[in-house]
Amino acid sequence: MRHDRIRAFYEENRQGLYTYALSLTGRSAAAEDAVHTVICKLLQRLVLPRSLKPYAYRCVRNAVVDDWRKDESRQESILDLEHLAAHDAAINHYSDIENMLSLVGHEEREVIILKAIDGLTFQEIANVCRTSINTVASRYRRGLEKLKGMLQEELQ
Amino acid sequence: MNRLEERLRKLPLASVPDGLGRRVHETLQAHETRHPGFVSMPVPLWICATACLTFLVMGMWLYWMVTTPASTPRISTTWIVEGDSAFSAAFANEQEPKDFFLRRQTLVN
Repeated sequence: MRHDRIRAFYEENRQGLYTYALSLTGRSAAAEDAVHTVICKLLQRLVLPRSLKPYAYRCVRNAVVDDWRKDESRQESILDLEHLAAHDAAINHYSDIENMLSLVGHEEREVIILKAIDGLTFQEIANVCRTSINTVASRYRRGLEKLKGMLQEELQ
Repeated sequence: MNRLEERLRKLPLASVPDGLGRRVHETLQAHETRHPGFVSMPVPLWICATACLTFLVMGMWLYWMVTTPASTPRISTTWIVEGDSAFSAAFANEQEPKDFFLRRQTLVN
C-alpha cells in the first residue's frame, strides 16, 4: 500500500525531482543520489505526509543544500541538448535561456524552475524553501523580469 | 510574461537516467521484501484497527456484565457441562440459577 503510493509518486514526479536536483547540484550523479535519498526517506517514515510533493522537493533541497552553493565546478545542463543536435538554432536558443537562468541568481532561479518548469504552486514552493508565499512570488516575478530583460537585450 | 513562462515550460529537459529508476525500484523491492504488505500498513490504519478491536472486546464485556444477573456465578464450568434439559427447565420456571444449583446439589446428595 505504502510502497505502491511511493512508487506511483516516483513515476509521476521523477522528471521534476531530477530536474530540480540537477539544477541545484549541476551534477547528474549528485542529482540521482538526491532523488534516491528522497525515496529512502519516504520509506523510513512511519506516516507518509498527506502531500508528498512539497515534502519530496524539500528532501531534495536538504540533501543537496550543503554543497550546491559551494561547488561552482558543477554545471551539467538541465536541458536535453544532445537530442537537439539536428537543430543548431534551437540548441543555441535553449542554451541561451539556460545561461540566462544561471545569471538571475540562485533564489530566483530555484523558484523559476520549481514554478515554471516543475509546476509547483507558490504555496508548495514556500513549503519547500521554508519561506513565505509573498517572498516566493516576488522572487519569481523578479526572476522573470530579469530573464525578460536579458532576452530583450539579446534581441536588440 | 506569460509567453516567457510558456517558453520555460517547453524547455527540453534532460531525461532521468535509467540507472536512477533501477536504483529506486530495487530499493522499493528490497524494502517491500523486508516489510511485507500487512506490516507496512500505514500507522493510522494500525491505530484504527487496534482501536476497533479494543472497542469490540470492551463492548462484548460490557454487554455480558449488563445482561448477566448479579446473583449468577460469573464463570461456572458446571453451567457449560450441564447444559441439559434440567437446566433449561429451571429457567423456564423462572427459577434463579442459584436455586437450581442448590436443588441439584440436594438431589445429588
